[in-house]
Amino acid sequence: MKDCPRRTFLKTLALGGAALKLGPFAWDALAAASGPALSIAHYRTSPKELDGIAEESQRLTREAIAGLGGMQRFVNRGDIVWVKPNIGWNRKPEQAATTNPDVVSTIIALCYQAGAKHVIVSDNSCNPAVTSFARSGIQEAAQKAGADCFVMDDRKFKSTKLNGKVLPAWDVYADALGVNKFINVPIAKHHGLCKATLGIKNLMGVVGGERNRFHQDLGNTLVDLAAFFRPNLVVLDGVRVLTANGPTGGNLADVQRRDTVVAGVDQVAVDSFGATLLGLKPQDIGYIVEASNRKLGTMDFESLKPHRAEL
Amino acid sequence: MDGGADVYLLYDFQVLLHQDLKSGQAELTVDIFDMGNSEDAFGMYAAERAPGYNFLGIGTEAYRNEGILNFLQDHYYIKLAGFGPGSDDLLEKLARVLSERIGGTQTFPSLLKTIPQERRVQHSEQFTRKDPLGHAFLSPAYVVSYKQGELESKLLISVAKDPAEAKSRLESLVNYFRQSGKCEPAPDLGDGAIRASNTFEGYVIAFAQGRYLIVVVNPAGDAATLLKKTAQELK
Repeated sequence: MKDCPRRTFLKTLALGGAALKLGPFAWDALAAASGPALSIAHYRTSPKELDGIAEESQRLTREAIAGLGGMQRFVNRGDIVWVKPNIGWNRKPEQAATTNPDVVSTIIALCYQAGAKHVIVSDNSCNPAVTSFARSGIQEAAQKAGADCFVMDDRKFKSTKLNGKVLPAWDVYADALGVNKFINVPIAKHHGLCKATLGIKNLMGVVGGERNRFHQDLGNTLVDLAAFFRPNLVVLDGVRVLTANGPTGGNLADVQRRDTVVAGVDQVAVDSFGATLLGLKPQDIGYIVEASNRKLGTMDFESLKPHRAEL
Repeated sequence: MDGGADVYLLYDFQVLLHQDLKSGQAELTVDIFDMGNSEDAFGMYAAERAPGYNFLGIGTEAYRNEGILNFLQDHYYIKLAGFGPGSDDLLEKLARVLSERIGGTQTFPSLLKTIPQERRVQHSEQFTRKDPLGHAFLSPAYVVSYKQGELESKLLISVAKDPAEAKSRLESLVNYFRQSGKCEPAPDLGDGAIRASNTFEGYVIAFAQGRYLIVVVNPAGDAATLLKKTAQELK
């Protein structure tokens, strides 16, 4: 620092000070701040065969992230990355209650291509974890892509200061705090209580304790999580979406194709776009409004001039 | 159930029996929700049902799709899921065995039998415990869709304790529409009946009959006849 010009020194100090307020993955969140904030990839056709859907999911994911500048914008050489899909339910991929495994495996592959040392995939499932991890197809897909995909160990939840509006502290999975980068990979679904479950709601899978208590004030509890974690990247699976009877789903009649994957650094904007995939407006969803009010991002995703790709 | 439980609690959920089963490569899960009474069981079942589902005759009513079969019987709501080769056939067999063992009644709430069948959208009936049409004062209520051509109306039957409470609910409805739009008497529809409208609900007609407040939202075609016939049946 001895030879550093005063202006550069003060700028670095200011950025560092701001970063400390941003949460566990702050430094690189700042580095990722330059470049497009939102990228939307859509498939013109809607393949029916599983192979076709798999290819579509992979291409959409690659394209959505490429639209932000590529995974190298978010993942550095040597990084340990936590990829957090929705593995909450004992459901097959077609039932759209869990994240598309091809979206997950593509993200893992891109992380390694960007130089990641280690990629971890896990979730605190609501249904029995062993069957949920297997039936969702995510465990197999993640392991094939070289990730460490494991069922969470209850002993590893540690009380962590969140300094939230309603959550001063909560049990967070310790391993998730020890990584360099956090990529949130939700699926867009109807939710019986809060109308939609998207990225911000997906963060519930990194915490433990009596999570049912969150449901008494989802508008604030979820946003406390969002304010704490601030993922480096959010990739929303909208290939198949669950339009009714969420979050558990199960009935294929409630699943619709949207053939879309959206990636972004603004978790409010990603969720706001995700709401539209379910026929909702972001203003309809309490926790999105609260997150916007707390300046965690913008509901006006169009104002970010998203990169759009039609495949 | 990650927030999915709240709907069950709303319908007075009592007990859940869960069982995992295996037969060869097929794996099945059984969830039997004891909802305490058949009206709440119907309410919960109907909350997850849609008219376009694939219905079949098990219990009071059942629907299925690949990997799932849900049915209603007496005060139980039964949800089955299956994975693996042969599981879909096993689901139906299991459902029939369970239905036989559960016994009890296999009938819908009696009120649904009394209201007009003509132009009713099959499988659209619902029993709403909380805030029907967004109004707490209408709770609880049955809601049924009727279709005339492309136009769809909703018939809402708000179930009060007694005629006095039904009239009180009607007054609340009148006050609501007076504040938010328009409301005027409709003596042609019945003594105390109203016609009302606002930009949110659109048009409604309503009439109190005994302990029921009968409302038709988006009245189409001969909705007046629907209102009067319903009132007549509920006398």
